[in-house]
Amino acid sequence: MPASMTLPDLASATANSGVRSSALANWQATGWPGPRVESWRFTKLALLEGKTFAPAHDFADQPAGAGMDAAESIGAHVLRFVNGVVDPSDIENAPEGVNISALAADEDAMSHLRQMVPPAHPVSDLSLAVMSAGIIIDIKGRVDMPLMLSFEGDGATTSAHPVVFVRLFEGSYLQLAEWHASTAGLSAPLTGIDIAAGARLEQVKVQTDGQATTHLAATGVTLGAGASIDGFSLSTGGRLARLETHVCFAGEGADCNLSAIYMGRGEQHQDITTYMDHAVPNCTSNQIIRGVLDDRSRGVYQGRVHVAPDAQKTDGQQMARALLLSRKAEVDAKPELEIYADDVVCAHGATVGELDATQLFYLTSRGIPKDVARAMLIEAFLIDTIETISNETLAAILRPVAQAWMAEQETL
Amino acid sequence: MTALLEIRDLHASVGDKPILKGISLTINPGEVHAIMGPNGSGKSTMSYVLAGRDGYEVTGGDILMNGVSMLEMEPDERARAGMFLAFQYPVELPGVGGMSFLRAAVNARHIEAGEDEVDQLGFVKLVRGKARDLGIDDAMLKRAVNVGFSGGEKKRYEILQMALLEPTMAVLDETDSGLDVDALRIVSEGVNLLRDPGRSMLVITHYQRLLDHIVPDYVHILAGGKIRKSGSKELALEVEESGYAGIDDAA
Amino acid sequence: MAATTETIEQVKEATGTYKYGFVTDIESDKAPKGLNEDIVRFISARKEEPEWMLEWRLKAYRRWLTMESPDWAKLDIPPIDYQDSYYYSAPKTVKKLDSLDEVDPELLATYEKLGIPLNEQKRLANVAVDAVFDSVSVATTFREELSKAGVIFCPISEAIRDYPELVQRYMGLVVPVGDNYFAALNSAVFTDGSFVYIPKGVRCPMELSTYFRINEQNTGQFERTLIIAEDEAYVSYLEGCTAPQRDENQLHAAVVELVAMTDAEIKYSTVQNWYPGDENGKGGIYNFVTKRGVCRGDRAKISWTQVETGSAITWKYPSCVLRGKDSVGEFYSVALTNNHQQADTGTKMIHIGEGSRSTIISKGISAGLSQNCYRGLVHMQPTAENARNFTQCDSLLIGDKCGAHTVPYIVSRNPSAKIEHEATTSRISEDQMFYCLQRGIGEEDAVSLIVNGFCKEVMKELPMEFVVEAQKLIGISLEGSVG
Repeated sequence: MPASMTLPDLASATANSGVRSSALANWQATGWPGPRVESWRFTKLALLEGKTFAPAHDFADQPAGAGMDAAESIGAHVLRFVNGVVDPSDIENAPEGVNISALAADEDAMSHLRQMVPPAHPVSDLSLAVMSAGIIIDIKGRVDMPLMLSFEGDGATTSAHPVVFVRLFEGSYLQLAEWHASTAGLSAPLTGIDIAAGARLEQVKVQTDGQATTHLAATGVTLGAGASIDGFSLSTGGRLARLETHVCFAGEGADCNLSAIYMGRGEQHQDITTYMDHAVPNCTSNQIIRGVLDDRSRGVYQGRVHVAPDAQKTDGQQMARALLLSRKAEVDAKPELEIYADDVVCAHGATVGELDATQLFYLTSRGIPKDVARAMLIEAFLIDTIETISNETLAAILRPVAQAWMAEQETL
Repeated sequence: MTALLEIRDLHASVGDKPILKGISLTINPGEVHAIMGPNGSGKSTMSYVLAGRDGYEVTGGDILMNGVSMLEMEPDERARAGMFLAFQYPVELPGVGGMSFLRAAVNARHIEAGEDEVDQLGFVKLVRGKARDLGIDDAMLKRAVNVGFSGGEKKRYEILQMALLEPTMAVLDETDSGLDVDALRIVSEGVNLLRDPGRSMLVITHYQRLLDHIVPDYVHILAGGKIRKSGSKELALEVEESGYAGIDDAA
Repeated sequence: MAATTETIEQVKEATGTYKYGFVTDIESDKAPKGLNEDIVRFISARKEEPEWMLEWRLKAYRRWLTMESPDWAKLDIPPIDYQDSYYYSAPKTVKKLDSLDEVDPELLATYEKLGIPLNEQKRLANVAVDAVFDSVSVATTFREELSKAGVIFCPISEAIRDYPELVQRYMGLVVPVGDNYFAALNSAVFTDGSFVYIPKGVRCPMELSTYFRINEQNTGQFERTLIIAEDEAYVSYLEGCTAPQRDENQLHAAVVELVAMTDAEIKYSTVQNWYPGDENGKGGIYNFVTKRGVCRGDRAKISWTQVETGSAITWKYPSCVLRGKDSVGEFYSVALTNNHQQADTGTKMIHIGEGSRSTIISKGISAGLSQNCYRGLVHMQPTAENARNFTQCDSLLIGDKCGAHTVPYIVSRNPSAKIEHEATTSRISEDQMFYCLQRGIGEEDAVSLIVNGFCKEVMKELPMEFVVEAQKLIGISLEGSVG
């Protein structure tokens, strides 16, 4: 798809130089991925075709969304983005150990961030070029107060391009929550997470964008020696949503848990794409993915575990399961192992099916209404995934979202 | 008389860690020696060093079998020269049928000796005969090596291999571990049947009870990588009563 | 295992590493080098084909011109000059033969050397063989016995002349001319291959087998196989392949189509041992093959078993279209790569029929500097009510300079369908090696033993007559991979 068919409003970006100008040039040359690009084979962006979006550039206040409530419930410091533009007042009074600065002024940081996702990535190029907000969040030492990035917004022709670069310095610790509840036409957040040696990040992402929103997120993670990340995403929103995460193991002894739940109904399209780049020895990655799909929705899981030559003693695990609740729903999975070192333990598993009829019968035979029984079984299917989250504070904000989705299920 | 196995001031390390710190031991043909010792004393290391396992580095001393040093020999060469190790934890070989495994091991010896390979039918009969004595049924022989075997089955299977390969020097590493009384009796009887003036055995164990069944000629107490005490079979009973505590300190 | 050692030694003594690397000195009749419409006409004319066949070929050729070589596989394929190859090569002395007595003795000797006796006295017990030498079938054994049972087993060139209605009805039905680049090329220039027809209710009384042999230099081999099993018919078919050791690469682009009607069963086994190139990656066959079967009737069953040890590059996905209710598809594969070999192989299971079931067992072994990729698709269409798939893909790495990759594609559009996929990647454990060594088994034999154990689930699916050969082949192919 030529770039010119969408987002004609790139005028504001043309004035840039350096990384952003190169990103713009790249975007204009490639545009959205066409139908033959392998990494987009299950997720087509045809619905963006012919649509025109205008990126917002100034902060316009709105009534607080659900992310703000969640932040309050866990006592988090909030950075609030409306249509991708950050509330300037949140930049100040950051908690101890957190330093926030402007990304656009830092060419090196932008260049680094751009390398954390694959070259010529549409989201990375476009959002860097347009960049409705660009901030660097530096973390030093142990930060006990969770940080919440809350993304809101509206407008069918509005696009949001927030770019956030989180850098955890050596030995630091952060709890990071990300909440998306925007009804804008396009939400395209680009996130870089650089975790230095011995640092640890506990992170959750909730994606509950509006039913007409296209949510295309790209996240790049780099792990230094002995660094760790415990990440979890829950994606229930958007007309089309793709949560794409690239993890690069740059130092030995790093550990990555990256799990996700996606839930679809109506005409929704949910895509979870991950790439584990085991570039060095002695690292572990573990992914648990669960999908639940109803109506005519479609779910996609693509996960690649790449083990470089010499990345011995790698342990890479992927387990993806999906439930189809409707005759019209579809699930596509492509778990992938790409292994160039021999002393490794790598495995993946994938299953697709429906709710177990025997279990359903057992529950209903005890007098439980069928829809309640179904909800119970779906919850059971998802629960062990949520239980893997080590941080109870962050897990607490996820459960109500999953439960709300299931409550809606019961009333349908 | 040349000793069947002579261990001379043997030092060995795993990684950079010295485990055996000067062991000397002479075993004459037909003798059964027992090595007892607490956990971590170097018992299993000793069995692996004798069998020549990679990663178990001899840093000093020598191991001679029939007067010939084995240090430069690969594990399979040592095995064909008559060294047999009954593993504490026998290894599973998925998909590798028991019969083809046993035949491969026996044939490797025949080929080296310049003899004809074993006749398939005769071999099956031979194995079945020996297996029956150890309470191993045909179904077990048909399965892949050690896959899905119980602890007792694995140990009996080790003794079956020993019976077939007819080693001159058999090292039994914690053969009693994980066995109940009945299984211990069957395995011990199997071993005793193989006692022979031309065959020596080194029985490695933590507990004395195995030595009630396989009665040794000599008992050695290993602790901290050295033999602390040697004696007759009565020494085992002594250890049973007073434990290893006193011996450990003797260094 | 001792047998393997012995074989390895014999082979080494006789011919170096690759057992089948010799060249037969035999006069041949060749088409001029290169590819154009005239060559297609030349092939068709030489084969004395009817007009419809020539039209079909020309259509395929024109289609091929508009297509591009696929680039999605995990393969590094050097550019192929399609004009620098012969598309037709036939041993000169071979005409239509009524008995083996008329076969050139050189040829008989060649097949003897390959271990495929065509000679009446020495034929393999209960296996009928069609021997294809470069572009033509040179001999088919047991034809009389087969025809008594109503089974047709003949070169496809003969079938085009003798059974045009069957060929016209089925050829290109499962693999259409424009299916992919290599299938289109094959459709234009195929020279021979086997045709099998099992009538209703007939259980083919013996194993059928085709041995493919590329002999000529600069020759591509493009054979085409078509097997039709009518209602309640059964056939087990095996193909074997070898080629001389040559420095340049040679292209083998075959098409195999299987059609199984109601309650019919086709078991198709391959032992592929095309010349893999030398240890420096020079020479070897490019094996770009399209194999597909359709279970058209209810309860029909198609089973693919492959043991792939040869070829410089393999691009091959034997597939099943499970159209019939309760139809069954199976794919059992061992793919072993060593030195500079590359393989991208797997299967597609397309579930259309209610209650259709499929099983995929894939064992990949990579050694040396090779790259070995499993690529497979399981697709449950909305009509595939209560369909089932189970997939197990295991990869074994020998050495730290090779690669093992697993790329499954799973698509489910029916909630009652169940898919289970598991994959593991590991190496031979040090414990397993030590255990074998301690029993006196040498290192190479120990590896061969463990690898054969790893492949057991697949090997047991091969016809009895070929299991031992396949096991030895694995031993030989692993040579030089340890130590």
